[in-house]
This record gives sequence, C-alpha cells and structure tokens, in this order.
Amino acid sequence: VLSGSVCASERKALWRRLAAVEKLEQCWCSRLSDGFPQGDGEAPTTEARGVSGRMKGSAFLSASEAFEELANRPLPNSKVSEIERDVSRTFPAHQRFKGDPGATGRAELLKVLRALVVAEPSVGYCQGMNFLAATLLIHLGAAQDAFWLLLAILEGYHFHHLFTPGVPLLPLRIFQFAGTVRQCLPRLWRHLKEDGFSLDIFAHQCVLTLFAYSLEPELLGHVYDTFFLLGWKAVFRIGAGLLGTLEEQLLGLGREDISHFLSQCKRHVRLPGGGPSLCPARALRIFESDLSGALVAL
Amino acid sequence: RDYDHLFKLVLIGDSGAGKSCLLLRFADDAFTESYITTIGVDFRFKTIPVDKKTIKLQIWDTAGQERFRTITSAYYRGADGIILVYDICDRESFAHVDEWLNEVNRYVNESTCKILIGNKCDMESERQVSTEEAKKKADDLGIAYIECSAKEATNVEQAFQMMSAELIEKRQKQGAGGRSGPSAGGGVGLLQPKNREAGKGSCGGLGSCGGGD
Repeated sequence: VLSGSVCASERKALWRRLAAVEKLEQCWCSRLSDGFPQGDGEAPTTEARGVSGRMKGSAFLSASEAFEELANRPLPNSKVSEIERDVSRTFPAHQRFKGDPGATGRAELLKVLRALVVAEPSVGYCQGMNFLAATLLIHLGAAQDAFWLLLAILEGYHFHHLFTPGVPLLPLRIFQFAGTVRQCLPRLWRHLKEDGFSLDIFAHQCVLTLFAYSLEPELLGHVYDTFFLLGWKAVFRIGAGLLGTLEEQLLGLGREDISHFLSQCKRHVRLPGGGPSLCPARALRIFESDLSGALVAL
Repeated sequence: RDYDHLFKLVLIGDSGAGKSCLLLRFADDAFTESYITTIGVDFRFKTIPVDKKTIKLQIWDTAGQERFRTITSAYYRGADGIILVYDICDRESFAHVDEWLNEVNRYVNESTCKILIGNKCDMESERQVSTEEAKKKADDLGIAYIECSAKEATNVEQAFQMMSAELIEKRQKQGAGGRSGPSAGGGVGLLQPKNREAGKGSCGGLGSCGGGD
C-alpha cells in the first residue's frame, strides 16, 4: 500500500479487509433481520418493515438484500431533494456521472446516499458525502460495495462525528491539518502567514471530500488505500504531501493567486506528459520521518 | 494601493440557490450547468468601477447546508455587505430568508449593508415566489431586493454595483477615509476569519495558529 503499487483489481478486497466491512455487514444484516426501526426511532409497522418483516424468523438477510432494504425505505421529500441537489453537482464532468438526472451513475449515487441516510438517521446527509460515495462508486463499481465502504468510513473512521449536524469534529481536523503543514513545510507556512492566507479553505475541502476537490477521481484510489490503512494520519500526510509537491509554485504566488491556484489544484498535479505526478505514497515516504514526531503529538 | 475602497461581501442562502453561480458570473462572466457542491467556504476578488471610484470587492461564498453554519458564521464577521440569495423556483429557500437574517445579525452590526437576491429569474415557468411578494418581504426587512439570473447574466453586475454604491455612500458619511475598521485597509489578516472566540467557530482562527498573534 505504502509503495503505491495496489492495482485496481485488488482494491475491493483490500479496502473491505482494512475497513472490516464484513463484520459491519453481518452486524447490519442481523439488525435488519430483527426489524431495524424507521428513522424516527418508532417501532416499525409490519408494512414498513418490508423485507425485514417477511424475513424475520426465517432467513437471514444477505449484505446485498440489506443494502436494497435500506435504499428502498421511504424518506421525506425534503431529505431526498437535499441529496438530489448534490447528486447533479458531484463530478459532473466524469463519464460515470455526467448526463441527465436519470443517468445510471447518478441514480446509483442517489441510492447509496439514500441508504446511508436511512442507516444513519442522526447524521443525515452532509455535503462532502456525495464526493466520498461517488469516488467509491468509481473505484468499486457496484452501488452496494460503495455503500458498505461509506458506512465503514462513517462508523469506523470517526466520519460520523465529522458529518453530523454542526460538524463537531471538523475544527479539530482542520487544526491538525494546519499543524502538520506547519511542521512539515515551515517555509511554505511562513509564506502563507506573511500573506495573511488561511489554509482553512483548502483544508475544509481536503477533509470533507477526502481530496475529491483537489485530485482527479482516478488518483483518489491511492488516497483511499492509505486512508483505509492509516486512518486520519493519511489525510494529514497526503495534505502536506500535496502542498509539498506544489510548494515551489506556491512560494512564488501572492495571496489572491494562492487561493485560485489551490482551487485549480487538479490541473497542477500532473506530469508534463499528462499523467498524474503525485503518488500519495511518494508523498507519504517524503514526510514519513518528519511526521512521526508531529503525529505522536497530535 | 490600486483601489479607493475595499469591501468584504458574503454570499449566504440555502444550498442550491445559486450563490456560487452568481459569483462565477460576476467574477468571470461565465456560467456552467455542471457546477459542483461548494464545500466549506471560498472567496474571489473582483475590482469594479463605481461612480468614478475603483472598488475592490472580496466576495466570500459559503456552503448553504445548515450544519455548516458553525463554520461559515466565522466568515460573517467584519463583512461590509451581506448578499442573501434565494431561488425564485424554490419557495422553501424563500421561507428561510428570515432565518438567514437572524443568523447573520448575530455577527454583523447595523451598518452592514444587506441585499436580497431572487436568483434564477430566467426560469419564469417554474417560479414559486412572485416578485411582489419578495419585494414586500424586502421592504418589511428594510433591505433592497433585486431579481437576477446568473445563467443569463441578468442584473448580476447591477446587484454588486448597487451594493457597492450604497457602501461607498455609507463610508463617506462615516467621514472621508477616516475609518480604520478591520475591512477598511485590507492589510495582513484580510483572509483570516474574524471570529477568534474560543469554542464556536474555533477552527476559524486555526489558519493563523502558530504565530498569527
């Protein structure tokens, strides 16, 4: 993973294993088979229980049936339209998601996010999730695989606290992100500070979308490899690594241009030949030694 | 410096109202159907001439989703102008206007200029809020109202012109160049959110941690 040599065909198995998805699926299958309550916490009626009601006492739900069950539960219109609004604003230029609102990729994205909101009613839909779900769809293919990994990110990697109303974990993660940059890239940090530029904007985007704002979807596979392996440390290291690869260019820019440059980050993180130049694993290696101390302190 | 006045403006309003599209139209005179969800906050600079003066605008774009208000509210501080946007084809976004104003009034003072924009006025057939109703609302609130279309570039420039003119007038009343408030000079710290309180919006000051003070 750290050498950046994971190939696409290995990814699904690797991610499932690192994120302990099987255990999560079993837990949810059993919960649903026992009649998982509706979002408002009331005991479900027989009709509302749908498949789970029929399944109760007979067969155990499979992971794919459990996903279908969650995705097909009714949701209030306001919640559905909140998700729909963002579905059309997620990688709109990517071949999988471009086109009509009813395009397959968009329908799958909606389905994954609906299922998530049903499974995590206290969290609900949070902007940023759309980019995570879409990235997982791109790299895993099937909607149900994307759903279980997304749920694992929420439940196993503290994203629950990041996305829940009020985004309570976000300030701490931004603080850590900035701290890592200060520690690893003191020259760049001083430059940004002198220019009165706050890294918060960039950090918000990196943290809430797991770099979907800053890197091409195809490159994000490496990001998720390291994220599933190292958890949050990977986010800070990749963030610092990304800024590190752009450091020379950033040092030559004033504050008005820095913001624009970073918002166009996708264009800059490329080799002259057109291929991606940033391998997150390379960034990790670069900063590995400098970071160990900093991350212990965090 | 290459401008007579610098004003900080903040775009607020429900998610999907078209805040980012209005900013893109104003800053780059462009429109795209394939816009992406705004995450957190973003900003742009744009310099325009108003009444023979050169005005530099720093315009903040904020995420509209309610749960991000803990973050975005840090950016309301020190704003000279607030641009409240709703979608004329989405009654819900209009119904939230009061809520947005209450929220923003907790962070800005009375001298902050506010304007209500009804966006997407090109989509007349899907209109859910009449111009009269919106005008009355704005009158009741004591703020200006204008209908825009970021898509067709209707009234976008005018809205920013209108706000700039009002801000110039306000500033001149306050004494010619006498004001040295946080947004008057535009020195270091311009891009730092103003909210340094512990707790609420505490991430706002984090960009400066490690030496900002």
